[in-house]
Amino acid sequence: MQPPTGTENQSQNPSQQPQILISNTETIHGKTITSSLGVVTGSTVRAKHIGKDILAGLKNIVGGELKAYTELLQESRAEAMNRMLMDCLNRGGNAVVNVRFATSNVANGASELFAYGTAVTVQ
Amino acid sequence: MADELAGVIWILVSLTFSIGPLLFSWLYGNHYQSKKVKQLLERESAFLTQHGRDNIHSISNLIPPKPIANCGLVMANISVGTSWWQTMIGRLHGIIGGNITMFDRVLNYGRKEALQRLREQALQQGWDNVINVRLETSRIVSSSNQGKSSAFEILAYGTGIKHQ
Repeated sequence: MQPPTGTENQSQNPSQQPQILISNTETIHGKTITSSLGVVTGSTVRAKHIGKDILAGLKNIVGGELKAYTELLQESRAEAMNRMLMDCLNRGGNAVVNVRFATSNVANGASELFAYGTAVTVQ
Repeated sequence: MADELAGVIWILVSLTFSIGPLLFSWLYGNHYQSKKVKQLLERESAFLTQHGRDNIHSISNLIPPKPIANCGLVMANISVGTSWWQTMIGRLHGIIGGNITMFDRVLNYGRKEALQRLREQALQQGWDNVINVRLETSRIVSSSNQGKSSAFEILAYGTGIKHQ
């Protein structure tokens, strides 16, 4: 697997994800871990477009699911994960184990999504 | 006379815009949320009767253990909000303390829905089981709607496994 050479290679394409095995257990089932390369992280801070934010606020009158936020957070988390996978590629790993997610509010209307795990090489 | 009439109309209009959404929230919100909960329970029981067993587990090794061919991450999320009415009542309730049933209900719905989405997602992606399922909850603060409502995001994730 070729590690990316620069920022221009860091595409946001989720189709790159299947190259790397991800798991939130300690091992990759069906493979053996040969070496551990340390913690890899990826994070992103996103805010909603003001119009959609207001629409979500209106939807909130009746409560229930807020689809606009669900989608936003899904996209942002995919991007955070992509950054984590890029970190893993840069270190020469081909799998990330014990992945965890964390979310925090950094400002009104903005959330930070954070993904971290341990990069490993598997066979 | 005309001035008085205009005054009355003005008061009515301003009342509609201030209390109207709250009334709407009370009258329609409860109905809407109950409908969603009912739909979710139906989906859940339909899934369980169709497959005969649950395919998500919070343990990291299945009991009894089965050989595993490959694995991958599965995740599902939902963001839910309390209605304006629920937020108001919840705050009032917060003064007395005790079990705030309004928030309970919304969060319970969110968790169940997230887990159900995880089940469906796992099935769709072709995994036999999902192990090590974790749930995470966080609060979303909206920039345009401060104080009127609270929204939460619930994320469910786990490792999908395929048996040999």
